Amino acid sequence: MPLLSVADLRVGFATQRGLLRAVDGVSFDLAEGQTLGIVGESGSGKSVTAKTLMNLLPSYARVDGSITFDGRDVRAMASEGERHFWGVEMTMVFQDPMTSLNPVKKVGEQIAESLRVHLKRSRKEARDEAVDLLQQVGIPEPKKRLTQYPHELSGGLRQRVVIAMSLACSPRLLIADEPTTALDVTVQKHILDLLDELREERGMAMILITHDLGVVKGRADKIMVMYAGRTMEQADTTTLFSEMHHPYTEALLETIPRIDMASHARLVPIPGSPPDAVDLGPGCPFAQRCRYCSEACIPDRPDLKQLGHGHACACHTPVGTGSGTAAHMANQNSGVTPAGLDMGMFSPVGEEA
Amino acid sequence: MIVLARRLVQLVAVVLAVTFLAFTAMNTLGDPLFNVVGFVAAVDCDAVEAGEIEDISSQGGTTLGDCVVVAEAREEFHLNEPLPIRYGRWVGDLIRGDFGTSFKNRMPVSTVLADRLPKSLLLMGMAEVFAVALSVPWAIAAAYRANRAMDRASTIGAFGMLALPNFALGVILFYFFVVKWQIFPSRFEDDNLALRLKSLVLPALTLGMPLAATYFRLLRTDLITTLQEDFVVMAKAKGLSNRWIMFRHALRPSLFSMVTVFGLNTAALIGGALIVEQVFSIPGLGRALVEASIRDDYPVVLGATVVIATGFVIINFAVDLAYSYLDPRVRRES
Repeated sequence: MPLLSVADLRVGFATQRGLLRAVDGVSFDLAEGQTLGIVGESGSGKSVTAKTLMNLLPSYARVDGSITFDGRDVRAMASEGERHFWGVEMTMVFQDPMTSLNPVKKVGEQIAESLRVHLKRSRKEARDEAVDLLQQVGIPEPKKRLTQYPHELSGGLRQRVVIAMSLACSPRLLIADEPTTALDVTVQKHILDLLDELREERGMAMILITHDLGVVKGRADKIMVMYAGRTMEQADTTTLFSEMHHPYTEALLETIPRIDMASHARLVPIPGSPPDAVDLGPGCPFAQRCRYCSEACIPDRPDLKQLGHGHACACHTPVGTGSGTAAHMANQNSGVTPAGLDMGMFSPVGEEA
Repeated sequence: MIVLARRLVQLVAVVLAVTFLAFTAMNTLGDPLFNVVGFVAAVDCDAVEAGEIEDISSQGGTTLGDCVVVAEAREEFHLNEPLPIRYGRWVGDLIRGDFGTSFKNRMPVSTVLADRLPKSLLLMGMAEVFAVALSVPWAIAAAYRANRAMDRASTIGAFGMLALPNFALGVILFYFFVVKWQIFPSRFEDDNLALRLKSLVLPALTLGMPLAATYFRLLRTDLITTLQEDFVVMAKAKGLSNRWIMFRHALRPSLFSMVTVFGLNTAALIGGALIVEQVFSIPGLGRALVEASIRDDYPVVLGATVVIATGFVIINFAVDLAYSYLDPRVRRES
C-alpha cells in the first residue's frame, strides 16, 4: 500500500469571472521512502496541490477528490481539526527562506516549538534536539545558532534552518515547494543534496516541486508533469527521460541548459504563456503553444491515457509516435500550427555558434 | 550607558527649549506683576516716586503705600530684571530643585505639582489600561474575521467612538452612572486608594474609549497583514494552533504602529486630560495648567511644562526600548 495516495484531486477557487480550476483531476501514489517530482511552470497547479495536501488552502477553496495517507483520510482529518498530523507526519519546506522564518523569534525557538507542541518535549529536551537537528542539516556551530535571529543568517543557512524545522518531528513525508528557487545558484545544489541525504537516512518520502526538470532528473523516483492544473505526463524518472511522450515535457527539457551541451548551444523557449485557468476552452490546454498540435487538439481535450508500467500521457499526438511525427511534419510544412502559432517561434535563442 | 547619556542630553535640551518658549510667551503676552499684586500693578510708581503724581486712585491704587507693595513684589519675584536673566535665575533654581512659588496663593510650585501629578498619572494609567484591555482582544477577534460581518461592525463602532468628542462621552457617562444610577461618585474622592480608583473609572473610560478605537484600528490592520506573511503559513504547516500562531508569532511583529501611537497618547495624557478633569471635577495637572495659564501664573505653568516635557522624553525612550524588544533587527542598528 502506498504511503500517500491522491485520487482525482480537484481544487477550484470561485472568482468574479467564474470558477478557477487550479487543480483538475490529479492522481498519484507515493510509496514510503520514495521521491515524487512535480514539474511545471508557474500557475500549473503544483503549489496548490502541495497546499491542499498540507491543509493550507483558504476556507473558500473548493476541494474534491480523495487524499489517503497511510490508510487515513487526510481531508477528513482536516475537517475534524486533527492537531498532530501536519507538522508531525507531513511537513513542508517553502520556497523563500527569507520570509518563511519569523523575523522576531530566535532560530532555536522556531525549531523547538513543534517539538514542544506535538511531542510535549520539555524546554531543555527540545533545545537539545534542536541542536541535533541543526547539526544534521549541516549548520556549523549549532549551539550558537539557537540564540540567533533569522536576519543574522545567510539565505542558504536559513533554508537549512527551515529544513531542520520541518524535520523536527521526524515526518514520513516532506513536501519541498521550490526549495532552491530563491537561493544563490551556488547553494542550490547543496540544499538539494542535503534533502536527498536526509530523505535516505530517515527513509522519508518526499515530494519535490520544481519548474526545472533538471532538478528532479537524478533525485526523483517518479515525475509528474503538470500544466494548467492537469497532469500532462507521469512516469518513473528513467521511463520519462527515455520515452518522453508529451510535447510539453519535451519543451520543458529543451529550456534547460545542460552541462553536456556545446558551450554555444542554444535553448528553445516555449512560446506564449500558460492559459487562463478560468476559461480553458474545450481543447488541450497546451495546444496554443505546441508544435505537435493537430486539428484534433483544438476541440477535444485528450484524456490521460495509461501506457503501462505507470507511464501515462495526455496527448493526441505524442512525441515519438507516428501521429506525433506526422503532426510535426505537417506543421513544419505549412509553417503554422492548427492553433495559429507560427512555427518560427520555435527557433532556438542565444548566440550563433 | 551611551544610550542613556544621549537620552539625558536630549531631555535637558527639550526641557530648556519648551520652558524658554513658555517663559517668554507668558512674560510678553501677559503681565506677571498684575497677578501678584492685582490692579495696583497698573500704577505708574516711577512717577509717584518722582512726586509727579499724588492721586493714584484713577490708576487702580488707593494709597501711595501701594507702591511699596509693588516694589516688594517686584523684588520678590525679580520682575524688574531683564527677561534672559530672570529665565537664567529660574533655571538655576530648578537645578537646585526649587520650582518657584505660585503667584496665586504663594504656595511652592513643587507642592502644587506633588498634589496634582499623581492624580493625573493615575488617570492616565487607568485610561491606557482600559484602552489596551479593550483594543487588543477586539483587534485579534476582528483580524481573524477580516472583512466579515463582525469586522465590519467593529470598524463602524470604532469610528463612532473616535467621532464622539471627549466631553460628550464624559457627560453621557456622567449622566447615567453618576446622576441616574449613582454607581460612581460625582466628584473626585481622595480618602483612600480604592475610592480614588473608583472615582477615576468613568474619566478613565472617557479617555480610554477613543484610544481603544485608535489602537483597535492600527492593530487590526497590522495583524491582517502579518497573518498573510509566509512565516505564518509556515507556522500553520508546522501544525501549530491558531492561538499559538496568534500569540507567539503574529502579535509581536504587529505591535509597532500601536506602540508608537500608544507612546504619543500616553505622553499627551499627562497634562492634556483637562476636559475630562473638568467634567469629572478632578484636580489634576491639566486643570492646574489651564488655571495657571489664564492667570499668567508662570511659575506653575513652567513647573507643569517641565513635568510634561520630561514625561514626553521618558515615554519616547520607553517606546524606543519597546521597539528593540519587539524586533531584534532594530537592536542591531542602535
